[in-house]
Amino acid sequence: MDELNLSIDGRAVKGAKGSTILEVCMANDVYVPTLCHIEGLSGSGGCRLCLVDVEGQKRPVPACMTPAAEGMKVVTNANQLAAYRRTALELLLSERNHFCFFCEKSGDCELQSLCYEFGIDHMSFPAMFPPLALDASAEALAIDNNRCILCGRCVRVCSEIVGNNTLDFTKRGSNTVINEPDLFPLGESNCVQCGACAEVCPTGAIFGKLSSYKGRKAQCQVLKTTCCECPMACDLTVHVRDNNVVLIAGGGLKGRFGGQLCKKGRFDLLARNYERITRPRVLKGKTQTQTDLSNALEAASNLLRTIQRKHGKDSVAAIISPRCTNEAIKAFKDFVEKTLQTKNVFIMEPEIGVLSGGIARALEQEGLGRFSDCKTSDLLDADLIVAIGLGPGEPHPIIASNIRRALNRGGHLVGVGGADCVLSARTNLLIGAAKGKLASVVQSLTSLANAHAKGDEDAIQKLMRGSPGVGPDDQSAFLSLIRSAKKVMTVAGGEVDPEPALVRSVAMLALALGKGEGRSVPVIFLGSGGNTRGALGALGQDVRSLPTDLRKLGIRGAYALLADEQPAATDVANLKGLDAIIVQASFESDLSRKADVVIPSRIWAERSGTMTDIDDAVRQISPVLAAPEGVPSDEEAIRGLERSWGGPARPKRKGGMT
Amino acid sequence: MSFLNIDEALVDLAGKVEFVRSPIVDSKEFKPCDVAIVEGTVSDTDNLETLKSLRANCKILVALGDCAVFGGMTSFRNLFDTEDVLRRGYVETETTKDGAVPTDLHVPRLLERATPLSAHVQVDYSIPGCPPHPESILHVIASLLEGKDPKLPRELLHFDSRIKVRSDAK
Repeated sequence: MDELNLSIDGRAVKGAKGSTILEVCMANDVYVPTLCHIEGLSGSGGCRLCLVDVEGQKRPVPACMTPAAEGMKVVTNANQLAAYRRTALELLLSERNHFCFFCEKSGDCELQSLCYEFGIDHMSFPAMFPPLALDASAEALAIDNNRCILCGRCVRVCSEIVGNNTLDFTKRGSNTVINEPDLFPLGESNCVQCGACAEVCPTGAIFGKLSSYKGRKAQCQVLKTTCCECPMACDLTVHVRDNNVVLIAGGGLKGRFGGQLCKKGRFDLLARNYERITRPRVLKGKTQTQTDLSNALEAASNLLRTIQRKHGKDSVAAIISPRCTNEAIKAFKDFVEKTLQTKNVFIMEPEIGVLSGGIARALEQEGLGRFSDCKTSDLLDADLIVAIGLGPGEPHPIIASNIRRALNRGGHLVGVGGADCVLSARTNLLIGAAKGKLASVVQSLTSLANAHAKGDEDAIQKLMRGSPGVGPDDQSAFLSLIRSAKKVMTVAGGEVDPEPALVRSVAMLALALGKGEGRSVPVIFLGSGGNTRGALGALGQDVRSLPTDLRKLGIRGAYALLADEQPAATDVANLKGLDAIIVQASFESDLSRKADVVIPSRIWAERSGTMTDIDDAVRQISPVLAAPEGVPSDEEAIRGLERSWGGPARPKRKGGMT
Repeated sequence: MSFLNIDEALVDLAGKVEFVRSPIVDSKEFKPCDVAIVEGTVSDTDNLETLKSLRANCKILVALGDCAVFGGMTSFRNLFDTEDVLRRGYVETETTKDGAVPTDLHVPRLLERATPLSAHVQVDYSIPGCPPHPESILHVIASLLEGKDPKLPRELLHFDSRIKVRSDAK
């Protein structure tokens, strides 16, 4: 029997077996006030707002923590319950500083809202005024324990969703505060500043500094889109007021990856202050002058055509940032194939990213294993995670959270080579690899994993007697971990050198580990740009990572679709040396200031279209901000460039025709 | 200011009430009255004396504003010792030279804690808000004049300055 029959406030209702009284109430549209409870996290029963009467029980019980049972008779709306709830609220108010007039959260505060609901127009208890500190040591977040009601949502989200366990209750009784367990200031703790705690905080106790005092939800448009900062492509809920971003929240605790965001996704759009390009410009003599879009596009096509006439089609490079939408990439590809006809197509993505994408695809085509069988979310319930060549700051915050959650559930982590990374402290087994020795270590581990998958004990014994790069202790520890693991996942990072053979052997190890019962997803090389997967998928084998010296390849001019990418200094130096450079970008850079033609581009928050995430799923991007007037979408600008190519050519230049 | 922001409704009110004492009426003592509206925190001995005398002379006492209702901004000094607060104000202020905490008996003494009215006397009705919204003030006064229950309905109850910008749970 999966269904329970209960009575709530005299009404016969049904509820799913295993649910709490609160869940049954919610499923049947019975309102029960809550404060410490939040859907998507475990219950805690701390606030006593959801107290209900259950027939046969002497005292009221918290609905959020009491399992519903067959035949239970529940009362949620008795006058006495309302009095208890009122008292609970008044006690909360009197405990700390809950004066609303200068609180950041006033207007969006759940405590305030409940006080209004219960008509609390005065306090029956004297206010306590404990002097508590404000911790503003973290860059993006602040904790004001004076505003805290100790509901514990932040502690639970930090543990259950982020897996980081930074926040906890410290001290005791009415002195209890939310803090790092060893009382480190947040800015000096292991906090990753993902802001999940601020998102769930019902009061003004934890808040994002950059969102403070910018507006309440009721004053904002609340819009949904996809974060384009990296291939995780997290769901975003963006609060916008007068075309300014006020606050960025995730997709909800019950959404993908528990609605997590990283520091960059949640705060970067609020923090960054880059100079925007809003008007097309053309270099005339030594200075750039503003012009309209059609003039700029015409100048661009003239410059590129002139170079191509002189030096051949391949003398012009087409460069794209992986931050572009699939639609812009498609337009770029069409333009390159039909009009520009150059073989030199480059992506502003580290070599390892381009290489690993190609090798993963090649292995699938060879029938060696399907990488697309697994998703990043499979990390959550993996019991063994093998991390190869992770660099400092790796893995990516959301992947790190997923790994930590797996480890918190009893999973194990093996580190192979790599630098001191964000997960170093959680590593169960570290198999070191000296510089240049990673390939042999990976190959030895692959042989071991393959022998284990086949159940070939003789081969295992033989390998244990001596394998290059891995000592016998590490080997046996590794073997015992893979023997007891049901689901193994592999991640690889930026410390893996971009050598085809090495990348291939890393992928082979991932596939070897995934044989047997479990599956393995080599979450290889996340990629730097948001839409790396989409760009590599669309541009295929033709695209290469931007080389260090374009001139050496005979390249004289370039069309660089940077979008909202900030080009690296090396790329700028490389491109500045060309005869003609067309830049299509959102932000000023040393490159845009030196370019022959500058075409403005929208930032990701202004775009509409799609991107392809790390799991090869296509995600929708909707504009949350209006683009500055006259700034075209990337695809519009590319099509304009295409049109001006076929349009009337300028009067012949000296020596222009070949 | 919020009281004056009742605007044109003040004209109607003026015809219905008689001001017995207010900060702008020059009278030192209270006469018996029907309604007393008090704003501010009870912070010193003079505040306390005034409040008690007022309570003894009125039938209905209304606390107006977050300070009178909850303690408000003034009560933030409760986070510190009274002596430290006085020294900070009279001696350590950056612009003060040779300052001293007043000892003259005619200067009211600061109470140990700044408290809302309800800590000292019975308060019949409360109008919270910092500042309280004119509509909330008008609702209470008009209800008292008409003999209706002056308790603030949910939409007029607020703790900050705004009554419209809010997200209600239910």
